[in-house]
Amino acid sequence: MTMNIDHSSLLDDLENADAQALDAADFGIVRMQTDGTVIAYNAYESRLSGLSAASVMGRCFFTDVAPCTNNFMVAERFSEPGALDAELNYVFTYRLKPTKVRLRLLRRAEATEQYLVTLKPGSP
Amino acid sequence: MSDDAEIEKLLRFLYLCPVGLADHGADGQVRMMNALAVKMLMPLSSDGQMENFFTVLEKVAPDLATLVQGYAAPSGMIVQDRAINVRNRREPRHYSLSILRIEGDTYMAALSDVTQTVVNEEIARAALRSQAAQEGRVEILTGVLHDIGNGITGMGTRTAILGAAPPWDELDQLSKLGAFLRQHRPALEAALGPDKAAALLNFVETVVGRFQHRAAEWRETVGLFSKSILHVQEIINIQRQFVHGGSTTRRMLDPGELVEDALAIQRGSFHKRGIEVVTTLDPDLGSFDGDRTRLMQVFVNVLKNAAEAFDVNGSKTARRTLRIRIRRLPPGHLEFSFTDNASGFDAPGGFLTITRGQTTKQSGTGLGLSSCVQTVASHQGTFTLRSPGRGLGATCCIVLPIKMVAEAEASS
Repeated sequence: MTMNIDHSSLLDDLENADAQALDAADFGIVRMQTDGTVIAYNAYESRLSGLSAASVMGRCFFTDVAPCTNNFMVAERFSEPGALDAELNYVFTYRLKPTKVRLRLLRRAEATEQYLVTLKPGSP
Repeated sequence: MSDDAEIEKLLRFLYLCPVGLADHGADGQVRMMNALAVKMLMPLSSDGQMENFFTVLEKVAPDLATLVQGYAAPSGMIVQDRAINVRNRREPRHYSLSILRIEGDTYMAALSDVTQTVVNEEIARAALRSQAAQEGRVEILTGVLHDIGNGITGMGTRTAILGAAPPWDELDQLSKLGAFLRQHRPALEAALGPDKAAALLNFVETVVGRFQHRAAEWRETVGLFSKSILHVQEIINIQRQFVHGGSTTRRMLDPGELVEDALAIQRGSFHKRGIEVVTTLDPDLGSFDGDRTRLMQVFVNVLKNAAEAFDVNGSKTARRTLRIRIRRLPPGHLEFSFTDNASGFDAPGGFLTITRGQTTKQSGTGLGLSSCVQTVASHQGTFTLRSPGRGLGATCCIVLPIKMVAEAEASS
């Protein structure tokens, strides 16, 4: 199964994906608990950021991994209750290089996990 | 540690750096930027453009490109602690921006979030403005109360002088005329005829009676007026104590004039008791620093106490005397002493320790003396009351500085 960032069933696919499936995705995936604790960090995201999955697991994504997302555009969207499926253009500093990315923020209502999905335009 | 681990550690360090950092060229093109810099600048970039530092900051700091490109030195600080205000969705954020030329076309920009500092400073400024406004109001109120207090004191002085004035001479003369006419009524009748003589006598007696009635009314009115003025003085004094924690406007005072005014208020009391007042003023007393209204209250109270001391049993001195002396005491003080030959009192060492409720009078409350001590102390002076013993008179001594020192100076 190939996951597609634009697909309407992306959240279903993410929830069903194991670590290997996440690493196979051609976009970045951060699976976290609703408090921001990272529980999966896929190979695509790790390659762009330069941070290994092992080094970010168990850390709060918004404060300890990618503090550039700790604002009203990203972290606060996740802090609002209920289901979430939002897309926005953003800038990540992958290896200190400001990089335009597409973000998709996903969470099911009453879920215990949430997803931040990133796509660097033009990347394989 | 492997190179990859070293690089990851360095990246992590820069990602989490609590200062926004950017590496850019003279044209503003960003080469490197850490996460915090992006977070801080994102609200300024409507399309998420972070490629050019100057473009992102154009709305809030349009002169950055000019400053950087006009900087001629090979290295050094170009912009230091420039305030940058950014309005994000909910609240304004305040950043401090510095730009350093490292070398050639390499520039480093550092952004610090100083929002909390700015908010704290604004709170402090608002508090200062509020305090200044409050102090201004207090200053005005103090001045107004001071001026009203002085005016009321002046009225009280004049009223007391009127009340203590001897009976009207004209009335006395008219009464004597009536008595004279009655005594020489036969001669008057012989000269004017019985009817006209009787009419004249009746007229003079009626006039005397009416004048006596009016004189009594006058004295009663002056007495009521004095009480009312005293009441107003007390109210103003309470208000002045309340405003500004009791501090009041001070000015240079004439010591002799102050005592003379207090004496004028109490003159009737001394006159009624047959007390002779002898005042001695040293030459060149000059003026001194004080609150006229409050010191007037002290001196009036001291004189009132001295007069009432003669009412106590056992003070049947043949010649009742109060001696007042004002003299200079080195260095820079004035001494006001009030010595009577009235009842006196027994006290350890001859000195009465005055505390609230302490009194030398059988019916006194002890609040007057305590208040006097407090007022004198607030003028950085001393108030003592001493007596060689019961029946041997007493001396009240007030020592005041000619010029009070500032509180900070005094405490040092």
